Amino acid sequence: MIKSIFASICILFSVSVFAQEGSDFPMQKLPQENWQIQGSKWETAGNVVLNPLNTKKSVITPGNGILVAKASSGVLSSGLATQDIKLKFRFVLGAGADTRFNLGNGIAVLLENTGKTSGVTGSISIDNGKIITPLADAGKSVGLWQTLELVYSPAKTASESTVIEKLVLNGLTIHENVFISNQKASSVNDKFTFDNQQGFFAVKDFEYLQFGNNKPVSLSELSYTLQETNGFDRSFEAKATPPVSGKTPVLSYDVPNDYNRYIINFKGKLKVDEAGKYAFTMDYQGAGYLKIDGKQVTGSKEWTYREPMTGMIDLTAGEHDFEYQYQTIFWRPAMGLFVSSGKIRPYALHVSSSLPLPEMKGGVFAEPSGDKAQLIRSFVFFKDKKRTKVISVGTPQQVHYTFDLDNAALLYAWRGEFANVTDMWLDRGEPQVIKPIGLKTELSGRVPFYANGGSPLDSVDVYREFINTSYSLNDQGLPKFNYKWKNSTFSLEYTPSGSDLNVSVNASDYNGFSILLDQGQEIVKIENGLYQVDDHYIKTDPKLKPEIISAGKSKQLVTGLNKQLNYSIIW
Amino acid sequence: MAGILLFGGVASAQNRPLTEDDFYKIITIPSPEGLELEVGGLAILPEGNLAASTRRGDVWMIKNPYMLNNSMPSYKKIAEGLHEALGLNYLKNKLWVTQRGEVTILNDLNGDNITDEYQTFYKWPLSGNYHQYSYGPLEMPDGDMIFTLNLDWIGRGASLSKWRGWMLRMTPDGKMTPWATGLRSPAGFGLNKAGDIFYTENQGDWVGSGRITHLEKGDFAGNPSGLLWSGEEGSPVKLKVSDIPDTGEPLYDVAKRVPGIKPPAVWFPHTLMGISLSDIIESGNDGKFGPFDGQMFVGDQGHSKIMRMYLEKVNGVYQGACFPFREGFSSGILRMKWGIDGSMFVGMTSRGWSSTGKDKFGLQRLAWTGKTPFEIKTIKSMPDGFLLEFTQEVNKETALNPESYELNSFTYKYHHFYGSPIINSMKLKIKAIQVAEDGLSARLVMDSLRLGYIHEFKLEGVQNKANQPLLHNVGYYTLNQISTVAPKLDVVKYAVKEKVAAVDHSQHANMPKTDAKAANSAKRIVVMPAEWNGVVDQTIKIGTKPGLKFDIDKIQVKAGAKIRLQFNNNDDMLHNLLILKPGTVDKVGMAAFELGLEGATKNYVPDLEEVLFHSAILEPETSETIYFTAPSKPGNYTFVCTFPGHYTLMQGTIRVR
Repeated sequence: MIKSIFASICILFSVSVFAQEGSDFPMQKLPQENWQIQGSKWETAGNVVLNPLNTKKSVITPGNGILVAKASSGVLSSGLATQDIKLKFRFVLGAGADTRFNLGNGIAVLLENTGKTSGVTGSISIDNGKIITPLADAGKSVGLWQTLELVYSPAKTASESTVIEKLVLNGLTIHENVFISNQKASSVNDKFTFDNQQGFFAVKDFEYLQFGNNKPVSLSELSYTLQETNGFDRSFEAKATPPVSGKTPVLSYDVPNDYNRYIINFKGKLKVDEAGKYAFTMDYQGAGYLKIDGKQVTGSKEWTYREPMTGMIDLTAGEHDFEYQYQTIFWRPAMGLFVSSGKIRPYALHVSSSLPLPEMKGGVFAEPSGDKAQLIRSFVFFKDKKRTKVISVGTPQQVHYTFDLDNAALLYAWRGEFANVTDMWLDRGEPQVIKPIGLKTELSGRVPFYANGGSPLDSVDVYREFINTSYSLNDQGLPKFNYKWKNSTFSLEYTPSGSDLNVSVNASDYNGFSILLDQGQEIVKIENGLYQVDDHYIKTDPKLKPEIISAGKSKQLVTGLNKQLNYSIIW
Repeated sequence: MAGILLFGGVASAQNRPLTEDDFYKIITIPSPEGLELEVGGLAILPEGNLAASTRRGDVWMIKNPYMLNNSMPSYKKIAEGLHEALGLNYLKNKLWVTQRGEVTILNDLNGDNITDEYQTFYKWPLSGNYHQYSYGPLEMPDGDMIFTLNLDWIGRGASLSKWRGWMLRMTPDGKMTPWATGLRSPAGFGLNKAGDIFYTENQGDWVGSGRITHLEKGDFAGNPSGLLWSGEEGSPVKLKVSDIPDTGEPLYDVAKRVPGIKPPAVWFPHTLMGISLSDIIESGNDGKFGPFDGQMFVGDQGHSKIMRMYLEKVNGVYQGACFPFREGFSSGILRMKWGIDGSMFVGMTSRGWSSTGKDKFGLQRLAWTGKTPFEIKTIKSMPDGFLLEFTQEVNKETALNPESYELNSFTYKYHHFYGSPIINSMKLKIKAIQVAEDGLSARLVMDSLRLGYIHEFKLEGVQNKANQPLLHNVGYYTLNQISTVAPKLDVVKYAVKEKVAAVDHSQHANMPKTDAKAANSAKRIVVMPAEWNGVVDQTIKIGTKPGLKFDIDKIQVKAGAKIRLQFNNNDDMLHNLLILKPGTVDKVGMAAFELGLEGATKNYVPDLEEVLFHSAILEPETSETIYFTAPSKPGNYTFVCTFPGHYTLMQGTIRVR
């Protein structure tokens, strides 16, 4: 059944086309002219601010850049033929919406929230009615812009499988290496299209990379120098043994030697057939660097076990100077190099014997069982820094959150599965960090309370002034966090409600204090009681009149406390 | 009072050698499958219950932990969501738990035993480094509580947030006084009857070997990382990091000229007396746990065993001896607590660090069978030597014979490096021996006593009146002060006969007496034999991985092939590599362990015909190549590291075909 998958993709490499986080290839924007808007029921817009409670009150600004399907607007073709591709777009759904993103060959990605099909946003449907469920329900709430990224390889002949290599929705990988067989071969007439069957849908920022099968980069004239070293000394201190040199036809650590610890340095020529931006990925067990034309492209002095590192460089056609240096540490030697670009998938420049499959470990996961919440205290990364007094609460309702105990600050809210605790409880658990699984949103992470007349605090002395005194659990095992500060007590309680998180705030001296409800790059008031803060909503009592204020480059949503302040986070 | 063998069992007991199990039984307390009971803390609860906190942040209440009449215990989770709870105690009618960043009181508000309120009693900052473990509380007689904070690990110990490396004292209402510093991995600490605090330390940077130190207010125990905070308000320690010399002299000598440094009360020689000391508890005075009332028991995480320590105070300074006591626990020991019947609960975990006990975690109970073992009960300092007391009457002839004893003294270096080799080792001569009338003690006069040194006693020849050997025949006494209370012994009256020839140190009397070094070199050829004419049939490379493993565990060679084997020690500990005849690894491993101090000079290779080829003992980050011809007889031969404590885990198979 799954016949010549090897012909269409190589499954031996451990590097995906997503390169490194934050350093993906710049993708080509699909110009608006490509879309066959004429003759369709679709329109364009310059800005769309959806009102999730009442689509009719949405604000749609005329202009260009966004493609809008107001209701049951049918098919819109991108004009882009289905092919080996990586693509990405942003979209937003109204309430009760159902749009299909067609990949040709009867395969489509569902973008819907009607609850009427047996799928959800991110499900894959195949024309025989089969739905492939995603790994997680990663769709955002009505009205919030979502991001979909897809790496896709359609079958070129009838005996091949179509492969959905990766489908990432809102940062979560929801399909990986899905093989769909028994489809027809793709035809040149197949295009990527949207089919808005029901409700409101808008899409923008459609970008892509088309992959070919050529291998425009190769190595030649490789020679090496091998130097024995004294252990894993960071200064690369060489031993007294004289270096060994030689020529090698292939890039591989396996040259004749008797050394235990060494640095091997390869020099040669990198031949580039086509000018362009290329990504080079080093994958090794040890330390090393890559230099092209004398400039370091990637690599690290840190000792890493199989953590691929990628650097990008613009190369002209022709020959370039190539230098690859690798140092063995305590693991057995293994080193490799992959090249990729906006037009080619990664392929290896080393021989496979130089980089065997890495040793991978199964993970440790936590999932609440029974009818009570599960609590885990740990470290967590928040805005690239480790917060160390952190508690995560997983609920049977599958709405979870992470809370900073010292600062009384909500860090993350997410729904779906609870937590990956491999970094805490596998072996020594050196990172000691918890990782939320599921669709998450990030909150401000700041101390919420401040005295009236002042502004939200950058920091506070959590040992002498703002003190966490205790937290108590209710019947569902949900905590209420208690604090004391400036002659007042404060408490915060978080409760799941459907797929949202409710927040309940109390303070003994509520007349004297205000609260920072949220902070973000952009805060938009949708209507009374509903505010959009970046990628989530804050919903308050419509009678509450929070203010949106500026704080440097950010915006803050603040209000005075009252006897019992409740609000919800929707994402 | 003396050991009473069961009446009907005398004859049969003498037919086989007695083992530790005859005197102290280990009972396993089973836990339900799926429960990761990685014990971090143990507390005795009212009504005969036991509480255990785990490294995964739970607290479990265990009912019926004594399992009388072979009944099963039951487990109930009473708290969760704590960050690595390595300390637990039931004090002042409440359960106190110490997690990484906080001391928390677990309040059960509605009487169902389950914690409803987690009350923050005290907290301290954390750096995010995993090595910042925190321990306690230990209750003092006046109601105060003691806690300790582990250092960070950044390739060496460091104190990256306030008070790491310190012992802290707190009043019941949360007022904290810093107590002492110089600590590295203070996972275990306990009180003696006098209310003095002793803590266990692990071999590591600045710590030559495991040891127990008496900590008084203002003491500095050796590792300078915590001195970063000695200038903080409330610190009773006056030393600064710059006050600490890094010369490699013994700690005792350095302490003489740098006031404030507190040398240990008792050293536990590395690999002989454990490799990672953990908890410490004092035995009561009620005779329920055998003949060792008032002595202390010390757990070891890496060797899954409990050792015994006798302390005395000489000239106001604590010192004493450590002895083997009970091995064979199921995992790495971290916590020990006395049960209400005088037996000892032992909580264990080995995740992240290998231990001799192969289970990943465990909970067991150690109980005295009522039989008294024949042991060295105490070693006490005398003005001219030592007094050894026994738990049973000795056979006087064996005790008077100087050849029954082997004595050495040695010490360790005090420097920033991780651990230390044994230095200044010296054999000691016995000049006189007096055995008491009642046969329960022997006094030895030695030719030299060195202050600050560890004095090793091996009593292989001493027997009791039933002609049985000692259950454990070694002890290590740390001599901080020489007692002058008792009068000196009349060395003329009790002189021993001069030995005729030098004592042969061969451990196995029935082995041919070959020169150890020559035997060593016949099996360890580091240059290609000339007769090979430069031709090697097969080259093998074996390296090491963390966790006491070789990086390859199966190798195939052709019978009779000429082999070049390169052994790379990539680890941060010493390792060797031996190739053994099939099925002999346990015999050889045990024999290597029994080489004791001498093992270091013999590459930990016992003189046995079961050892075919071997490398030298290799420092970290070094390698050695040996040459040998593969055996002609096909079979599964073993390659193994016989450094003490390693052989059970660090093995592989060489298949000869």
